[in-house]
Amino acid sequence: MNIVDILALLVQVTAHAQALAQIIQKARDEGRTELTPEEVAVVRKMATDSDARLEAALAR
Amino acid sequence: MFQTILTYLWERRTTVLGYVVTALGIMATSDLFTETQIKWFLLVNGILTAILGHYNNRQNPPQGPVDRQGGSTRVGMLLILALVSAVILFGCAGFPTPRSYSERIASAYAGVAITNDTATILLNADTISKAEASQVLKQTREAMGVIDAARDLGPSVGEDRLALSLVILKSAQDFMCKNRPENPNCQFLTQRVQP
Repeated sequence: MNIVDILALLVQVTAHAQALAQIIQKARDEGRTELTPEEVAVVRKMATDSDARLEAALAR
Repeated sequence: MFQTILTYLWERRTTVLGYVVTALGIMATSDLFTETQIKWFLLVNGILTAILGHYNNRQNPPQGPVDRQGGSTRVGMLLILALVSAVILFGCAGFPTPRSYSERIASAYAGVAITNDTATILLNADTISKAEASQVLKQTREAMGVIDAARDLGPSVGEDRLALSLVILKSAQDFMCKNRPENPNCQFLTQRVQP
């Protein structure tokens, strides 16, 4: 495991964490306690995209 | 008058930056800013400090023999360190604490994404085998299905499904990392994003 791999993960994880944090923060700033189905769908897409990346890595 | 004040502040720029950072730090710890604002403030502060330090070094080069090549290398290293620190700072922020049902559903999905991406990177680095990565993918897909069901059922009857999905997700993370507790990726995964 080299520094590039570690940084790659950090960047990826950071992107997920930031996307989720922004969605939750935006909802709270608007006074909402629940996320809309569209907002949940955005986070769900992150999961399906990561599924596709892992599947592609397995196929190589 | 205004120009005089600006000149006075510019001539004491490092001290002024220090006072501003201290004042903003006190305000930040008094819950005057949101978590996101604090993170951006820290990032901007780090970059500003690096730029100011670089500028000061150019204006007032160190006394005695100066290794210009070494100086440039040091500045480059400092900038890299600043960037790495910023990435780690943002990464270490982890997830906001989810409160409502839909926030917990979204966090579970994000947990799936991070588990999958960790498996991808470990697989690409030959740290885990294809068989292990396949097993992780199988479990995260199972977790996804259960999270979908919990989302569709809603908070009144979906709590059990949501709890089950987190158990499956934790099982996938444990499977991937149980024999690699010293691996930095596994440490990050288990310490920051355990469901």
